[in-house]
Amino acid sequence: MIRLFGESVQKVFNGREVFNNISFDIHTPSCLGIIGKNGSGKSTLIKIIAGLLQVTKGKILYEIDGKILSPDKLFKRIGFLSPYLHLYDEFTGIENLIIFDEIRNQKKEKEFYLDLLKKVELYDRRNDLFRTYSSGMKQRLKIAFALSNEPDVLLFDEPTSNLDDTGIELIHSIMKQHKERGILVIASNDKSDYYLFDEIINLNK
Amino acid sequence: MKLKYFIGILFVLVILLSFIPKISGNLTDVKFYSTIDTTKIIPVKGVISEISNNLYKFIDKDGNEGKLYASNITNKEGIFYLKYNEYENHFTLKKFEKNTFFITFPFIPGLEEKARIILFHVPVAWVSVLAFLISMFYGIRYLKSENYEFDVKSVNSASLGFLFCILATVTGSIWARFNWGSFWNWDPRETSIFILLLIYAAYFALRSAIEVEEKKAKLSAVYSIIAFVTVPFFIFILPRITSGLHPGSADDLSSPGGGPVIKSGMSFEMRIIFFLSLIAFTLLYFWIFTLKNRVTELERKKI
Amino acid sequence: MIKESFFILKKDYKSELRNRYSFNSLLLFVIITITILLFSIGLEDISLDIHAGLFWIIVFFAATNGLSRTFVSEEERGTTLVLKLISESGTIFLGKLLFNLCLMVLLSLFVFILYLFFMNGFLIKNYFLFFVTIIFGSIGLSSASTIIAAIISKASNKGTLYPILSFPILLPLLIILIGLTKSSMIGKSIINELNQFLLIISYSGILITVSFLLFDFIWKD
Repeated sequence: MIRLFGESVQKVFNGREVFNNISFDIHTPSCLGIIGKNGSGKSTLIKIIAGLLQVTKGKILYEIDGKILSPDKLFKRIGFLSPYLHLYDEFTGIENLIIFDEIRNQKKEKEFYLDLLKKVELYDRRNDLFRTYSSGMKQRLKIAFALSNEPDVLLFDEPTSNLDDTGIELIHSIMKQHKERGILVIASNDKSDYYLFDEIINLNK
Repeated sequence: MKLKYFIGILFVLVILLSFIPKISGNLTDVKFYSTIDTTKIIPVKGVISEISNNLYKFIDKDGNEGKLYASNITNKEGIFYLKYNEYENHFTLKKFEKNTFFITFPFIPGLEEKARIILFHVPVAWVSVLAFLISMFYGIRYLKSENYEFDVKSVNSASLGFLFCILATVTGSIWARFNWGSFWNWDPRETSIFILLLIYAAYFALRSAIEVEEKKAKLSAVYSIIAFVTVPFFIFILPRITSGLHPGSADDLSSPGGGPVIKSGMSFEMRIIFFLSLIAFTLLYFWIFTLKNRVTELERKKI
Repeated sequence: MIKESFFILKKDYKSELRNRYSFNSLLLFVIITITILLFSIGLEDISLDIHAGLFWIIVFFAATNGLSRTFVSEEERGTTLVLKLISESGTIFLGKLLFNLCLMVLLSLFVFILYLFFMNGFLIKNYFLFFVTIIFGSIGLSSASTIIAAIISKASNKGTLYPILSFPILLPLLIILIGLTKSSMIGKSIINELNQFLLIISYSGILITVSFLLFDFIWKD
């Protein structure tokens, strides 16, 4: 069982306080929703939860079966999706996935990646360079990247952006599936995502 | 604030003590110099007693005795400007100066009056290194705690260190003009202080190139640490493996082993004044440092 | 961690092959500088000191163009986030260090070959010493440059900042390297120069250790 908890988290950026005194405590299976208007710090908070940004005060910890997970090892457990995420333009879709897993030292059989690409409907374009993809296809490949290390924790920042109807359907089914067995954190302003939330952090004061 | 007055008094004392004492060698110096430069007249502090007409027994400050040939001497004690006559084994008087002050500075061949620079140049250089060390110390503390105050202290100390480093360069360079003939000679020690200036110029350039305050503090602290670990390669290794003009370099026989501070030639009294000056400059640094920190804090509060 | 960092090296190599971010411009830079040198020297005979100095000046400024790109290119493409998501900071530092090391070795060999062809006075008597110098020089240069490259990737006006930041740090190394190159041109034996190599080893060792420890602070926002 994984437990994710934050204790009075504060983030100051360039002398300005983004948010203050954020606390939460969730464990598998569950979904945490982060809502708030533009500029309220949704992306910042989800990056902090992903360990990509440092907190100014307070702490965020992951506990696996009662043991605290070292922040250095966190990256092996999470899948992260965000509009800020960019993959390598000069590699093809499948190369991107394989290279990332190599660096993670978790390389799997080729079938795994092909299945993943079929799932996000990029199988036909798998050998095209990432830079030739449309923005929706890029988002699909990023979803595949988030799932490629079979994470326990999924962190989605505006998951439905740039997606068409089938894409939105796909990501909703992924989120619903993941919610049943792991931790899902979604930062979104899209009301159609709200039904997934078990707990909500509202960054509007 | 009493420290202010204390520092002031200390500086007056140091300045007086650095300029009032006269340079005085001893008879051995005079004899030694007569073999090198026959025109050289060397000041020696001593006492005389008459043996016969125009011939005196001379006892210098270190207790060496010699015969002095002179005429019309009214004073028995003072600074005698002497030359040595090898054939007749006596000294001749060229000039006399009354001197009542109890401290004299030793006669250092090649330096003479210019030796007084050590009382300012070395303390200033020392303070600049100290300031850079303190800057790095606060840089490390910032990295550990991310407390904004430590970054303020780190920058303030670095800017003071930079100022003192410039002072050390200028005093050294003026001295070099008169001693070595040009303001800048790329002597290893000059090279290393130049590098130190470059490092901290780069430090400030880096700071001005980063907008976000936390990043600015973090990256400049990291850079100062990285730069500082290479400084020993300059200060201690390069001057010793290459030859140089500066006292303390590899081919300076008077201080074997080398090192940035002149050991040779300083008398006990001179060393006392040297340490007084060292204390005065160090206190001055700490005083300005605390003042600067308070100013930045007040400025911050006003915003 | 070592194995993963080799995969970062592999990724960078592949990406370099497709993009030619650093290498092409590096080679051109070297060719241009040597051409300018040839024109300015003309038929003049220049001393060994100047040859050795010029060699490392070219390498230093070429490194300015090449090595500084390692982190800047990731930052510009916005791919730092993905790197953070797939590995620890130590792994990334090692990977980039390895990449820079390879780049430096290739670069100095390239400069050497061009030098050999075009500079008439450039004659080396002790090739073994010269190549060892190039290898150690590459290690030293890349160990100091990688962390500087990481620092400037987070700053504005990156291009001008790199030489400003790296020069004071690299200077002791460059002085030693110029001395060693001169020795190899005179034909001194490597045994006489062991002290210099020890200096380079301690220099690189200290810088790599300190950079490795501090890289985390730069890498994590």
